[in-house]
Amino acid sequence: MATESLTQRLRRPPAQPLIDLRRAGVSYPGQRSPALQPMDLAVRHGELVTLTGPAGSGKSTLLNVVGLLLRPTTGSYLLNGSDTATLADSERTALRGRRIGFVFQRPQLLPTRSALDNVMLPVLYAGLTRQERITAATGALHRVGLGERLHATVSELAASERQRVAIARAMVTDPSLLLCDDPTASLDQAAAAQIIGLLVSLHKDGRTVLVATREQLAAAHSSRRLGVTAGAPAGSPDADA
Amino acid sequence: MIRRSLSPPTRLRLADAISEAVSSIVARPARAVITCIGTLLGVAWFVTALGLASTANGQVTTAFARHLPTHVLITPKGTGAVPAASPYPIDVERRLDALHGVVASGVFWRLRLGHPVVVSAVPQPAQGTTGAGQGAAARQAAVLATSPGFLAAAAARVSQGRTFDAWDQAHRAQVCLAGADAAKAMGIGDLRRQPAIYIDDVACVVIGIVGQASGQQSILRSVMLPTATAAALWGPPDARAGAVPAVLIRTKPGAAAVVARQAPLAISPTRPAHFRVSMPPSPLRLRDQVMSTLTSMFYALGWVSLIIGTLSIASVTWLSVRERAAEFGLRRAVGARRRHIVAHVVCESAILGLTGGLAGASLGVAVVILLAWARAWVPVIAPLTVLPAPLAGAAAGVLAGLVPGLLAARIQPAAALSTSIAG
Repeated sequence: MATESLTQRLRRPPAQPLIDLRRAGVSYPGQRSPALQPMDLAVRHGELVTLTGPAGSGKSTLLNVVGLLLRPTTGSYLLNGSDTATLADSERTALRGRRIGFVFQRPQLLPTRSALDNVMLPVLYAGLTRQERITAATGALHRVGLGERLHATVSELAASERQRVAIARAMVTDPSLLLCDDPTASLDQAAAAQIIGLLVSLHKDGRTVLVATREQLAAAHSSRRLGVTAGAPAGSPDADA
Repeated sequence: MIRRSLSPPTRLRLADAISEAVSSIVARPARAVITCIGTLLGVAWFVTALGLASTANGQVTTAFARHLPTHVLITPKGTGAVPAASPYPIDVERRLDALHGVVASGVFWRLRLGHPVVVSAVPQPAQGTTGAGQGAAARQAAVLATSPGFLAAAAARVSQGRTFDAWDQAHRAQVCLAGADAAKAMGIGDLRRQPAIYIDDVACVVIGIVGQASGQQSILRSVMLPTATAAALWGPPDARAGAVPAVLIRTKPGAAAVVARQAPLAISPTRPAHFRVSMPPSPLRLRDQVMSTLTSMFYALGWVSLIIGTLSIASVTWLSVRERAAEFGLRRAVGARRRHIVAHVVCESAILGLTGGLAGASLGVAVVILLAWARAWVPVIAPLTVLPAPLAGAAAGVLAGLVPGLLAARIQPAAALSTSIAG
């Protein structure tokens, strides 16, 4: 087992939690209160977990830690049983690029590019040929219902369409873990319902999904709901299961 | 959907990096133009400076060529068995004229008789009654015994009358030429009255007035008569009195040095060392110094402009990277490694540098041609300075993109994504 790679372990049937935070917290130099209080969190494969809480409560920081965009300054984070503290930057990048999909609060699309170009961005770094990238991105856009809007530029898309493009970009590499940071924050109720429905369907495909949201609708579909307040979880996550 | 091995690190093909860079450039045309302008001006000035250096060198060479020595003067080192013996063979002019680069050559000597030579436009009164101002002025004119070849070698042009010919030389005709200054001093202006000049009381008819002599300006103040006439009237040149025959050679521009080396051998293959050769100092060394200084100055200006262009790209690229922090954060978040970000930024600045270099090289060539046309110069542009100019622009772009690229690679995606991607 000593030679088993993290990737191989990620593919292995779930014997341990996919996400395992152990007293993991984040503090920034010069700030009196931590951005994320030390917390424990275990998420099993295939779960849909919603993180709820007010703005500034640390939901985004938690997702950044889970998505390997931030390193915890205290405690440890085990991803599928491997301590992420031991990962080199290139390994963290590879995991972000291939196994983790991220939907940000703002769609964060390249504004002058088409929907197709934006969705192709993650697979650009996967070493695929242009044709393979187009095939993958087209499939992802069809999946989110934008098969007819492939070549529309971002400025031509409605807010909900932009968020769907962002979801398509997150799933174009077929990640096993999907992290969504308040994806319905700027949408009306009908559009938010569409997005939540889309995330639920992606979860039903077998993905592990973490959604930071203020939407009760998302919480209603989740297998677990975790409240986060003032940078710390509001009680034992397992208690919400 | 794709399913690929998870192990390998993410990668970015060069073609994809270039394609992404082009897309990013096209997406922000105004910024691209601003970035290009720095390189464009830098490379344009670089090409202009080098083009002007080449053109100026050509002009300097042309200007100096006009001042290259075209005359060689040969005199005997020893006085010889004077006055009977001439230091030169009788066919000295034919021998010298046969040398490559010689335009004309001729023998001459100043008439010295062991006493002051009186030169006057009127017969001199008996000794003791001299006092006319005219005579006093005339005494300052030198009298030269010259061969027809000498007049050609001195590039003498008559403003009135004619020069000597073979008949005058053969028949020892008592004719003379007056230099324009000497003629004016003696009051000789109109040759239709057939004036005469009295040289040591020997009358010689003035057949021409020499108005120009670019090769020997001093003859404008002299009176010249055929060597055969002078020898017949006063005997061969008397070295003891200071009359040393010399040979003046006129050469084609640039040939003087070679002719100076060959002439003594042509005159006397067995005794070349018996002749002293003198020629005006060559301006070639001065020309080389001027050209070297000019070239160094223009090269320095060219390099300074290129460095300024590089710094210009670097500053605009750095500002661009700061504005696009969220974009680079996103790229890092979705799988771009630090080296991919560096490659992206460097590709962008290299492409902009190449574009600016192409435009700048074209502008530089146009400026050189226009400036040369305005000054009626011949534009000289070395292909080796123009053709690599776009590559120099690209290289400047690569250099300029390195630091901003490294800074972009250090952007923390979590922090960068807290803001929206700039349009």
